[in-house]
Amino acid sequence: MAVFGNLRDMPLPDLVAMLGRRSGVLEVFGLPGKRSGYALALDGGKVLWVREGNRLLDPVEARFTLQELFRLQEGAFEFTPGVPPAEGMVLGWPLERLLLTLTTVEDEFQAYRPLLPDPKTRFQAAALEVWLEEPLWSFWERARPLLQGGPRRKSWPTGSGFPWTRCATTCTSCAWRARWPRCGLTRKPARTRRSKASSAGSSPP
Amino acid sequence: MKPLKLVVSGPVGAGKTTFIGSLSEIPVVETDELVSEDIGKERTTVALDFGLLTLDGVPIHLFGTPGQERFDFVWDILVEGALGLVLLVAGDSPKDFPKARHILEYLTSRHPVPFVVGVTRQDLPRVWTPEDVADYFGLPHEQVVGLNATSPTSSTLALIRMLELVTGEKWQGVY
Repeated sequence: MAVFGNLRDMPLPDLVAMLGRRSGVLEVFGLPGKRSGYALALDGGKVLWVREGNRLLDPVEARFTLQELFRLQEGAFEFTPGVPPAEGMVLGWPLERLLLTLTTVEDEFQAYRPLLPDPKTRFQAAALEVWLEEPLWSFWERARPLLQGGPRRKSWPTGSGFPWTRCATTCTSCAWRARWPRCGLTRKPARTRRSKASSAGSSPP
Repeated sequence: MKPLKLVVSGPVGAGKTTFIGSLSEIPVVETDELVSEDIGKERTTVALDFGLLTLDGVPIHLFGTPGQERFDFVWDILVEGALGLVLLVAGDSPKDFPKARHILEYLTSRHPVPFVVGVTRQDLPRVWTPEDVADYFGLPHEQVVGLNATSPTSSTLALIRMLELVTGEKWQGVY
């Protein structure tokens, strides 16, 4: 006997709240635009590990993945009760607290959505030696190699474990809270393409 | 002895008509018609089902509601004066759980009656257990029972659970 269904009828927040303090493996698959599914190991209401296909995710990747799964409105799921197999480093995240945090982040994301920059905007590190409090420090350590080059959404490396929208949200959130100097980030507005007519010097009619 | 009125409700395809058919000692009064939209079956209840059984000398009138929301005006009429409610939900169809929750909240907010949730299709291999459905609805486990609506025995046990909730006592009668 298993708990199964579709995220369309039972979004992940509802499902997670229902699973409560259970132990087992929650598989999420058939996700639009995704080749592989995800598996979450739960033990007594704590997340032990998160897998994408056969690959075990590190804490940062797992965090982002859970946030993405949190927002999904399509995809099948199945929860198999039992003692989950031990794999790699144990995350040990309490599910209820995780739900609260993800909800808060999602609310924040929705609030910042209108402020998100143009996809061509570049965030580039202006200073590399900075000191930041957690959780910004973990984000900075991970994102520094990417931000040194000032990538845009188009050139954002895939598979970095850092979705562009999440990075842009974090950077925008920092700006909103006037933390730009501490982050050592500058924001370069998108360069608009000059029309061929104007670049050739011809004047408009 | 005054008959007890029990209402059987739930989403389309949960097994309401089948449940009443399993229990009734008389031919069930059905109001089935051909469907006008795709709901997964050919015929559906458009007004009510009525069945009658006697349990330990107690006559019980069973009223089944239509499952489609377009007939929700009938729900209020049928639940009026009911002593209890059996809400059926198909255990292999979790997509109907939100609808079942809506029906339950709609009925119990307007007519606060004791109720039990019956999870049908328990004879299938891949089905939600009554405990899982109880957690989904946020109900105590003793208020959710599993049953096979095609089985008179299974249906009667669910009915007895309902009567225990109505009377507040363990059913001592012999079935």
